[in-house]
Amino acid sequence: MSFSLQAHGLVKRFGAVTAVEHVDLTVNAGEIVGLLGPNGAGKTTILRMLAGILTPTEGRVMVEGLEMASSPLEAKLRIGFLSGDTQLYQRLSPREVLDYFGRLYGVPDARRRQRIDHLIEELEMTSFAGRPCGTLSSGQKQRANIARAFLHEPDILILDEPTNALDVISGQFIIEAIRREKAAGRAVLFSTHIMGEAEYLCDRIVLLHEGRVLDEGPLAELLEHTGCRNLTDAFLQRVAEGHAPEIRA
Amino acid sequence: MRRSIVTAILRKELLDSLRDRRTLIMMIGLPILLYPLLILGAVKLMETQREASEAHVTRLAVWGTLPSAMAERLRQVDKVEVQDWAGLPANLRQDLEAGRLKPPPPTPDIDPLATPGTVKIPSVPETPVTRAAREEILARRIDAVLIAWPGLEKAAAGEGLGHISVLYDAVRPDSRMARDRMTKEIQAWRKELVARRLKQRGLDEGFATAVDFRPQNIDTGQRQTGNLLGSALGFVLIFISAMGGFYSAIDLTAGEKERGTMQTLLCAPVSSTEIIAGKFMAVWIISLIASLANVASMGAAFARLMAGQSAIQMTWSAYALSLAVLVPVSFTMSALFLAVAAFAKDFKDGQNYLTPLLMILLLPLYVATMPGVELGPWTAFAPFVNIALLIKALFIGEAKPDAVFLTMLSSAIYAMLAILLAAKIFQRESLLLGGKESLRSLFTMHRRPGSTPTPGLALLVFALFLVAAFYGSLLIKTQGLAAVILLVQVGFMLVPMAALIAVLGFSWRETLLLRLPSAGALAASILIGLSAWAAASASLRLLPPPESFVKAMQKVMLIDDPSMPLWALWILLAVTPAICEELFFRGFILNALRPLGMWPAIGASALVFGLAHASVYRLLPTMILGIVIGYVAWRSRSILGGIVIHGLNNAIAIGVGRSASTARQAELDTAVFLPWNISLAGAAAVAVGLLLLRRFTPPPQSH
Repeated sequence: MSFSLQAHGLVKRFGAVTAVEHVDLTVNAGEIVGLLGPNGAGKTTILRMLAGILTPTEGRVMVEGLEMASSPLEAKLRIGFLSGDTQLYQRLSPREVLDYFGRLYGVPDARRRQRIDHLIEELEMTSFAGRPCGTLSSGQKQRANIARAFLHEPDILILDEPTNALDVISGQFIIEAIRREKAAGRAVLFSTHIMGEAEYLCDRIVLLHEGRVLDEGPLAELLEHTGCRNLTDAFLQRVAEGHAPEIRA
Repeated sequence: MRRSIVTAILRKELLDSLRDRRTLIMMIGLPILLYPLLILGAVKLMETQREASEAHVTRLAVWGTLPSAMAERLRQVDKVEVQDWAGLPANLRQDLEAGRLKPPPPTPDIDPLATPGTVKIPSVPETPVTRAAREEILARRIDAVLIAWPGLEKAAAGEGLGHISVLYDAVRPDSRMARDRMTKEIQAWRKELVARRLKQRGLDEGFATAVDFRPQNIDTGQRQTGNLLGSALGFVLIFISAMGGFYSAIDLTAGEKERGTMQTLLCAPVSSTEIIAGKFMAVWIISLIASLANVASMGAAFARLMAGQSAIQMTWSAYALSLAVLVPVSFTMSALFLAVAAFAKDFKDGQNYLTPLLMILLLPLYVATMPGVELGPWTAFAPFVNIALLIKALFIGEAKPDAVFLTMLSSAIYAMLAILLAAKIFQRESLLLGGKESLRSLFTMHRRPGSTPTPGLALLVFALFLVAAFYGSLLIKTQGLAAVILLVQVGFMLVPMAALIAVLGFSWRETLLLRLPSAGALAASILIGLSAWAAASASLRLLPPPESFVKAMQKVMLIDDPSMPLWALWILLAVTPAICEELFFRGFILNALRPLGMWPAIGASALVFGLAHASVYRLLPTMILGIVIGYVAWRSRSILGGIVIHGLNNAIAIGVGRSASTARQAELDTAVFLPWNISLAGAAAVAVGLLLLRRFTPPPQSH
């Protein structure tokens, strides 16, 4: 089976601190994988390494057969990255931001215009697409950010707590957008610390704690491993065990 | 690096920056307002003050008895109110009336009746009378005191010397106006008295004047204004153009981190080189627009100020050239600002980092405003100071091509260093993502035992050498040329280079090519050394040096100094440079540049070798020599051949120079250039030497 996104033995150290310790991960096309863990578990660092923003201290990242370390530009072309704290240029409008990133991703002029118009309509951004991003609400900004991440039609989406600090309606809007992308055959890696979101969205869940993988698999399997009735209890039990069990391939 | 990506980043950064009010105000708003307000405002203030002074009625205290003609004259003067004896204590009045007070002794060589402002009038000696006058004037009860010393009436009536003092306060405009009004009246009265005396004696007017002496300024006004403008505006222009890029450099780095948009950019398929290139160009363009706005606003303000004063004009070409020379300054500043601002985590942090940097860069510029400091072969290498001096030289129309060339070249080197630094910093992901790193971490050099220096380090060492040579040679200028040469060669080249190799643990053998060449390579080097001088001198025909330069060179080479024996000259000017310069340029620099490939490395090392000789006339011959020796060093993988060539070349040049100088002293004419046939023979011998070298050395290897 060919994987869209693969990570082997990822390690990241910041000085004396080890943020991520030997993490292996795979995401297939048409699949949503959830990275679940409390604050400081290493979710953001892992996703940044997978998106090519951070260089791993050890290990390798493969994007559709391309190695991130040796072909970073080609690999990044295939990824759409979005995080909850990703910001937009305050003095530029969403339309200008989309045009800018379209150019950076090398989307041809005509296709770029078409995609921008399409996304503005699909994500219901028409009313604010021409206003400076600095004047937009959090929900509006995050829609513009989604449009930026989806613009170049990447095969892989890496989403770092995309609903962070959003109200229920805006959050739900984003969840639905992610489901549409999955339906279109994209590979989605999604991090969250909200258990309900993970339960609702993910085909597989990876439980992370202190930079290490505690467990992984479909929701039903995780519950079965732990004998718990919900994901929160399963996660807490794994943390209490204090070590990662042997993970099945 | 893809041009379309750099252009996209540049376009976005410009659009973003131009929508930022702070950048717009610093870039265009400030200069448009600053110059008219500063220049016209100051002029208007002076005019208003002058008008107020002129309208002011001078309150003049007259102490003593004036001759009736003078007293009458004073009463008729418009806007002067005479108050007899006002403010003088009774005892002093009695002393004055009784003739017991004496006038102060005359000050030699100073005519107090000369045009006010042209002579510096010394303070009067402290006496009870001056104390009384000071008290009255400082209390503003009167503006000035006129003292008619005892005997004035008698002297004026007869043919004696009478004494009048006018006591005023040079700080207060009203008091200065009183002085001017009194000076005018006393001058007129004195003229009348002298004319009357001459007439009585039947003498000609010239009897008392003897010589009509008028110092006249030959300057058209342009240079005078230029000197004034150039001294001050070199500083102002550099400062303001730097400020134009100041805010955008912070905004595009620390500001982007603070707003959390840097991560968005880093996840796009763009390299750090493309990001720095786009951002750098945006800051540079903004800085250039700021320079343009400044020069235009300054020119317009001065044009308005000088309107109607045809004697004082500045040509627009001086402004245009000033703008052109700001290009490398803004280039270097923009790169340095970007590099340092990248360390900041937010806008405020950025300001904290850049303000001291701005101070460090700009404070030395005051040197350029000092009278007597001009653009020369060494000042052309002082970063930023050289541009300030160049602007000064442009404004007085005295920029020499030699110095302009060196200034622009050295500025280009500093600019390249700055952009290399910025590029190095932008490769640090932790910095770009908002992490903090100390500036020191960037400059921490790790020991690399057994390796050779990098091209960046070579460029940095060369730039530091230029700056050290500039300030160091200024410091020991009075110690004589021998000391300067030894300090530059040993103190600034050999010792720091050796220290760096030792500290960083580079391989001595590989860095300095410390190995013996083959016998054939050595023989080839001797042949080249004996003939290179004749061949290189042909290049002087392309750009003949002016006579003043030849004389200066002879002075530098101590050729005209008969007290220095030839062997001592050879040690100082042939052996010392051959060892020090070869180890530095063909050892350290050339080997550091090795990764660039053979010809680029040899060419670049020859260029810096030529530049170090600090003259456009010596650049070509020294570069040619640098290329030849560089090739010899590369092929033979030994420094010794270069030392032999360099030493022989200098020794022959000194020997020929000394004998030519002796010939001139014996009034024998000597040709300025070597005859063509000798130059060609020299070139042929060099070619044979190079062929021999090829024959006796293995094929060149790149790094």
